[in-house]
Amino acid sequence: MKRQTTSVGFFMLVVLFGTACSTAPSKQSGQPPDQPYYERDRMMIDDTDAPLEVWDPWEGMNRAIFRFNSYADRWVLNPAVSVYKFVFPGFVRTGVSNFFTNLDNIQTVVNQVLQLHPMPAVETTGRFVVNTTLGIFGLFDVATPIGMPQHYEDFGQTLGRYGVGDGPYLVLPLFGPSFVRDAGGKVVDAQIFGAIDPLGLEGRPQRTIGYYTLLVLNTRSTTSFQYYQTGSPFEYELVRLLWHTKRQLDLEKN
Amino acid sequence: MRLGSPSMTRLAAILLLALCGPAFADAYDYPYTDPYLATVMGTPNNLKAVVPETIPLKVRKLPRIEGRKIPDALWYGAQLDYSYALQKGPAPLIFVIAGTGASHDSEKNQFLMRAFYGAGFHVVGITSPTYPTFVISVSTTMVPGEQRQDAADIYMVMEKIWAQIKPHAQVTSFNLTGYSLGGTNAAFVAKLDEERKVFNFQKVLLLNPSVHLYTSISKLDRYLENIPGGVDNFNRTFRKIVDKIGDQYKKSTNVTFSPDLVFEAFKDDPPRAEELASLIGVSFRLSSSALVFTSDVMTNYGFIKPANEILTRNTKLDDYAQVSLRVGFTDYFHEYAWPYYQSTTTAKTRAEFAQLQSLESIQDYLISARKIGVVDNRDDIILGPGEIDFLVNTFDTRAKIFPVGGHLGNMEQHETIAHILDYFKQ
Repeated sequence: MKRQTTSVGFFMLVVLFGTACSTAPSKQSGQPPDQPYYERDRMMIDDTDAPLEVWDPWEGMNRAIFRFNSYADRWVLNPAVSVYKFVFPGFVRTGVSNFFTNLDNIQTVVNQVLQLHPMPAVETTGRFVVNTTLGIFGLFDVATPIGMPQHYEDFGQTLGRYGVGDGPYLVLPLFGPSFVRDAGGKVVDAQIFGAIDPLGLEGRPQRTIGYYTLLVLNTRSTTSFQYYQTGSPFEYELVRLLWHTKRQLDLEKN
Repeated sequence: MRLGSPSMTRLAAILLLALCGPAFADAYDYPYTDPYLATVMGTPNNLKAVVPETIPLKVRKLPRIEGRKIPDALWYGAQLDYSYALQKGPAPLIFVIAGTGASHDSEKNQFLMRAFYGAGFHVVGITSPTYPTFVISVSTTMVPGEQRQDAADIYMVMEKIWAQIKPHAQVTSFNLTGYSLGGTNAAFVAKLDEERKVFNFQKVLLLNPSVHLYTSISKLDRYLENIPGGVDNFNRTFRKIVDKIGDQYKKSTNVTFSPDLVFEAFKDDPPRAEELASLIGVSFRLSSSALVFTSDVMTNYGFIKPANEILTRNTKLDDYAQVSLRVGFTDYFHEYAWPYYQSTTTAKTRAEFAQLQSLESIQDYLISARKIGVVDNRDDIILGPGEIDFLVNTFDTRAKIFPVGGHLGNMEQHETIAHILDYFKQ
């Protein structure tokens, strides 16, 4: 029941933002638009393969969330990461990063099995076992130096492998660029993680809060992207394109 | 023969020379002789100058110039960032101006700042007047490229920065450098300083500057014609570059869509020779598209955006992005900057206006100003025929020309950095 309310809420959010955030420019009243010097139709004749195109029907909402994320970054996440970096020395942060990378292997194995890729699944399992034992709960990455490859899979990719298209572009609050398929995939991955519960978070609120705090700090501190640092007025378009490309490459790599 | 005696030392030296051979005999060991490859690949790690890993760099903001109205769509550019790192005691200060479309913390600016800080300078990084935020927040005309105007804007920025950091810094002298277009900017800023005398620069060094801006932008635009199948296949090359950057996306330490980002993405796997030039062309086009559209929105000239259309924060910009990517630096010059400046410039013709945007237009000053030097490469790809000779004739002994290195490919090379630091220490 609870999940149903969440999805209804999400749907309403889409409708609300989607309608409230018009992507049309506002015109000075009563005038037809001027012709710019370089008009699109003159410049782009016969150009069917426009290089920037990504399906983005909810652009108004996405742009609003993109901006919201930049504020969250500026006022909450970046200051928190500064504190995190000040308090914990580099080797500790590397340990934390290794820990989460190792934990991701659980999700990766599940999806490799779902994708019927036995060999990579065996490799990932081996990696997980080695780093969890010899690497002390994943704090140290001993598997990479001995030549065990690191894979990454998520349920969005599993769906993609079975032919599900990525759907409309969707900027998620705090998480950033995604697609409808991948956002759905994230929910499934989270359910799987909750069902396996490798860290015993169930019924331990303090541990749960600690886990998610560290997860957020680690994710933000290992992601170098900063909003509006590109300087480009087309940053939204370029990030969307790069993310689209990245997800396509993720799918193609196997 | 005692150890340490002159003959013993000489013998050791001969042995060493014999063993190391070329490395010692030929001091300049930059590996890429193809200037396009050099421009993309930069300096291999083992040949890079040793500079401090990190320096106590702080980022501050300058408010926008008085009365500047910021359009909704460009809301993020209301303030201009700069970065600086100060020494504890008294020290010389150096301003470092970034190149085309690059900000104060571009990879190259950061490298230079680390090198200078390591050599005992206070360092201040300045964003290029061609970077969108500069255009939005502090550019007087909002139409960058006119060198005297850009110099005046940079000078104003420097004065404001100096006012902010003055209480914290003990400065023994002011110095100035810049790479690429930033080098050209530095020459005009130095000339302006002779009248304004706020800084009285002690030393100024231009790193791979553009000599005639018009030559450089024509060349950069023309590199796009090298795309297999002509400029109509721009999309395919663009796609390829995007694929590569997409791959690198999460790894890159500094995500600005400057040429550096594109070059970084291709370092592990450089494209075939004939594609290199088009890669360079496209990477500069990414910068110019941002500049052209930003300037057009600011002036409301109606170049790409219809003049009576008002962009909101959420306005879809796809079509404008597509068009901007098709507009080159030379289109900007002919159809936008020249018409804009026509009524105010001293130049009577388009050609005269172009000539004003060159180091040649201030050659007399550059010959007489003993404090200004230049570093360049004989095969720099943004220079036209005879322009290296111009630099040598103008700067004479103050010109250091390396045989190869393309455009800034060797900037981080140990010899280059050693020469740069030496120049300021003399």
